[in-house]
Amino acid sequence: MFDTVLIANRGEIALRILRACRDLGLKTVAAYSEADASLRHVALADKAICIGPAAATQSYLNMAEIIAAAQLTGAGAIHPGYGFLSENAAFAEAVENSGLAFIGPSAAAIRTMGDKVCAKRTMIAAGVPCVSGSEGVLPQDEQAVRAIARDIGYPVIVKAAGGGGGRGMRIVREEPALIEAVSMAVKEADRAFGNPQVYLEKFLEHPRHIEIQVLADRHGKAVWLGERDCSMQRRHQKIIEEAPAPGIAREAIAEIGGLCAHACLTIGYTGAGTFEFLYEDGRFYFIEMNTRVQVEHPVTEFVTGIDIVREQIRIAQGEPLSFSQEGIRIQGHAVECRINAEDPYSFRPHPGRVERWTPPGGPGIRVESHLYSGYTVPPHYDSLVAKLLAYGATRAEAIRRMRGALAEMQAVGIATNAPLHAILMQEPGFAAGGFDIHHLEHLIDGGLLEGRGGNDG
Amino acid sequence: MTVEEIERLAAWCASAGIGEIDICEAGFSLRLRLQSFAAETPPLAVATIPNAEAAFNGVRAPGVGVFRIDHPTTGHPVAVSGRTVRKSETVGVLQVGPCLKAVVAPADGILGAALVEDGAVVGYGTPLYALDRAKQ
Repeated sequence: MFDTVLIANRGEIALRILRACRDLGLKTVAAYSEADASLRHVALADKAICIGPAAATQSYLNMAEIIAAAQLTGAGAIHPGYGFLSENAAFAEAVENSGLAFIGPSAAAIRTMGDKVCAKRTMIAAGVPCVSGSEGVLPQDEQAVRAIARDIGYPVIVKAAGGGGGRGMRIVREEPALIEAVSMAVKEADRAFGNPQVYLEKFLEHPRHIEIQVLADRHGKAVWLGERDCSMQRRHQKIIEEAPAPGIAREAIAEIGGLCAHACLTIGYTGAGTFEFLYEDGRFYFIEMNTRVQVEHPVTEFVTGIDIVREQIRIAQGEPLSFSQEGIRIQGHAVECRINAEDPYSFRPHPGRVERWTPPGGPGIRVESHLYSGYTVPPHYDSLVAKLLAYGATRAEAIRRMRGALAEMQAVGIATNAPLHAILMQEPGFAAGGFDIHHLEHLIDGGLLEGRGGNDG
Repeated sequence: MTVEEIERLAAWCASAGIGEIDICEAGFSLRLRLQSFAAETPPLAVATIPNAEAAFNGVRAPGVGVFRIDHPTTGHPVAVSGRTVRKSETVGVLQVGPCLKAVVAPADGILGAALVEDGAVVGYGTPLYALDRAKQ
């Protein structure tokens, strides 16, 4: 059993982990890069050790230095936070092989869920609904391909097996266009990834992004902590999250939540995790699992009253979950706005010195941020500098409080996207709730930001 | 130079505390002047610590490890203070379990006193020796 945790991350999540450790009576070691010596958690940790230069590849992604830093400072466990090495199976394995505890699932579970094809197969076996599609890659035979597409039902999307980043993908709405689209995708995939294999999936036109938070201990117990709606996105990056998801029946959430908790037991998954789904026309389709704590976890903490990071650490200590599924109650409504150091209209990163930081406060407001007056936001990392959370008895109350919090917040010296959030809090589609993942892009295309400082992004 | 490169350069200048920079290449010149520097207020105490360290131009730790003045296998000192050392010469050792990592001089010069004790745990960039650099 460990009494000291090395925090292998930076920014707000490093501070969040430090606070959870402090609540549990654990000591902390901050492992930081040369560019991050002035971070808040570095000053607050029991020990701090610089693990490398600013470049993440030489610091926050440097497995050997992080493990050596843990061993030399007497840490018994490593918390990877999110991003960086948090979903790296080789790192989890190396940590365990060094005799340290990895605060997260086993390397095997990370590996299984990290491979998209493998994850999908595992989920289907566990009874979790997935987007229907071809079983593996498409055959050469054109008749067979047509039959597969007919089975799935149009529209379908052709995807490269070795692909990513949207390349090699083609949407097909009618059968006559199918064969040409497949052959184009094959050529593109071959050129882009050196792998001509493609597969078919049902294309969802207007999905929402709904995810289920789970916690599983090492004693065969797994629970689900409700859902989050993360449909407000720009270029696949979430910017607003909320819980519960507006307009989805509690019974439907309970059913999918139960399947997710059960799947944890099937995979042998332990710790905190998130099953991500697309939701369209009343049905859930599994897309992927995040085998770590997520940026938006406080939304769930607000509506359940459960400290997810603390539970994550307790599970790594071998403790059983201290509550049962029946004991989890979803109460009220929570909204989170991700505050990025960027121009609110062009979305260009805007690092620099924060001359004055004035966080908002009041009933139902929570701020997760590493900012302080005089702190310089370095240009080397993600631009997330704060998360504003608002809680209310109802969704309308939470949004009203968020509006006030956004107006109160001041970060003089850097640009943030707070003005964009303020616009969105007043936007009719957001106010109604239940919009799809393209909502923000459509708003921007429709001129939401025009005349507000220039949309040159 | 692309717009992205200029943006990166500007961000880098801001983080490094550089107010103005001139770049000249064949057929191309660029001057960046950061506005916020005109109204620069004195930095907080917390920011002066890394700045003072940044000015250090002696021998730094190349990574995390236990600093060894005496070589763990021979038991002899790796380097002697007051002696002239050459650039890239090994002047100390970092130990991580069974692994040893060489600490090398960044330039020619006269090695000063060790700044941390033998056996101390050090991080990347920790100043280990003063170095009186030879004039170029």
